[in-house]
Amino acid sequence: MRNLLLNSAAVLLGMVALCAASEAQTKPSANSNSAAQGQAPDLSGDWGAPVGSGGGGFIISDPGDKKTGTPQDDTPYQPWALAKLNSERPENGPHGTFENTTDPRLKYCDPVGVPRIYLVPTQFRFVQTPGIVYILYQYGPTWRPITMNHAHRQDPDPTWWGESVGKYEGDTLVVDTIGFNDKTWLDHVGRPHSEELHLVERFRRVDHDTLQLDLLFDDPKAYTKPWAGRKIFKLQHGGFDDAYACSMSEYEHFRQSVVDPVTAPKK
Amino acid sequence: MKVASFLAFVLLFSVTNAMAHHGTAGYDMTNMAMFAKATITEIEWTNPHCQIRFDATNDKGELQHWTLEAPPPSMLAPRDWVRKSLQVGDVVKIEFHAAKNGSPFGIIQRITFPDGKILRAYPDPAPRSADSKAE
Repeated sequence: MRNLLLNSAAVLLGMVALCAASEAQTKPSANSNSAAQGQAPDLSGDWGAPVGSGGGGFIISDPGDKKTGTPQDDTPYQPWALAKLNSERPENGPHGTFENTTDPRLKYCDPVGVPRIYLVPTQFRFVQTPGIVYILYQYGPTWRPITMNHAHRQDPDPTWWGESVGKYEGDTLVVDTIGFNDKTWLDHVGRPHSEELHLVERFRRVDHDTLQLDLLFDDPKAYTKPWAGRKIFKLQHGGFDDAYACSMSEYEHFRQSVVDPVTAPKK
Repeated sequence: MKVASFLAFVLLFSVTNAMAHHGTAGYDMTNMAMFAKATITEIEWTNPHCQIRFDATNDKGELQHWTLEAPPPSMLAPRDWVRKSLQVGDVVKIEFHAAKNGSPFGIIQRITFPDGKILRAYPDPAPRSADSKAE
């Protein structure tokens, strides 16, 4: 009987310990040493482009400005990808134009995909649950599920947002995405990608108010070698609930009431 | 409808373009235009850009009807704007970058109310030098 009680107590204590460890693993901690303690890093808050950055910028840049559209652009394009970029008529960048844009976001309100959504001047937030991290985007509004600690499916069908799996590496959320369709631009100036794009996003909270996103673009069909990008986000205070929905009727109205008069030949 | 009683269309100073904002190719981003008394006639609180319309009198005494684009509501909200921040009939000081083609269009920078309250649509640009004023 005594042994039974001791064994039962040991089992109970073990279960309590297991539950506590599980709770500690999945519950985000504000402690800056949470990563070292095996807890998920705290990515809470609404994140957006720093003030003065123009809302998001035109391109994912780092290290340094890739000077898209100029002879100094060092992005490792495959020839067809460079030709496609040069054929686009974006609204932004060195060759930006309002007229006859080829930008699928502006022409069709197509989903902007990743990572271009980080260039739209809107906010995003993480919802960290044990098995899935959700990234909620003000633009769309839309959301992405990141299945944690799980392998990709074999050859997922291509979609606008791809298939994302993730894990924590210390203080960093690593998101690995494949299965993109090739319909989106990587940025506002028209960098293309193929369905072979393998995108890795690494989110790290540098300090309480700063989130650093490092990206790795691995798309051998479109680029001769992998290349990196970076975005810095700041904690925002308000505005997330004001969703930015892409509306073709609103775009058309804006085009007629503002764009056309502004771009008309000078009288 | 009230009309601005006098013009102050001023090129205040050359400014650096701190607004790496999309779609500004049609605007003169190196100079700031201003009306000291602009009467608000319409506000469109909508995507992709809010639109603010106002009446003001130019230096020739001519009444002009202006349209300015502003950021979308999602960008204005963190900058303390709400739909009713600006009302039809308000007489305000308005600063903006005018269209290059001379049309009465522009992209707004900020609004100053008679009580001194400022609503910024974009961060203040960094001034480079001071040019002459015109009154």
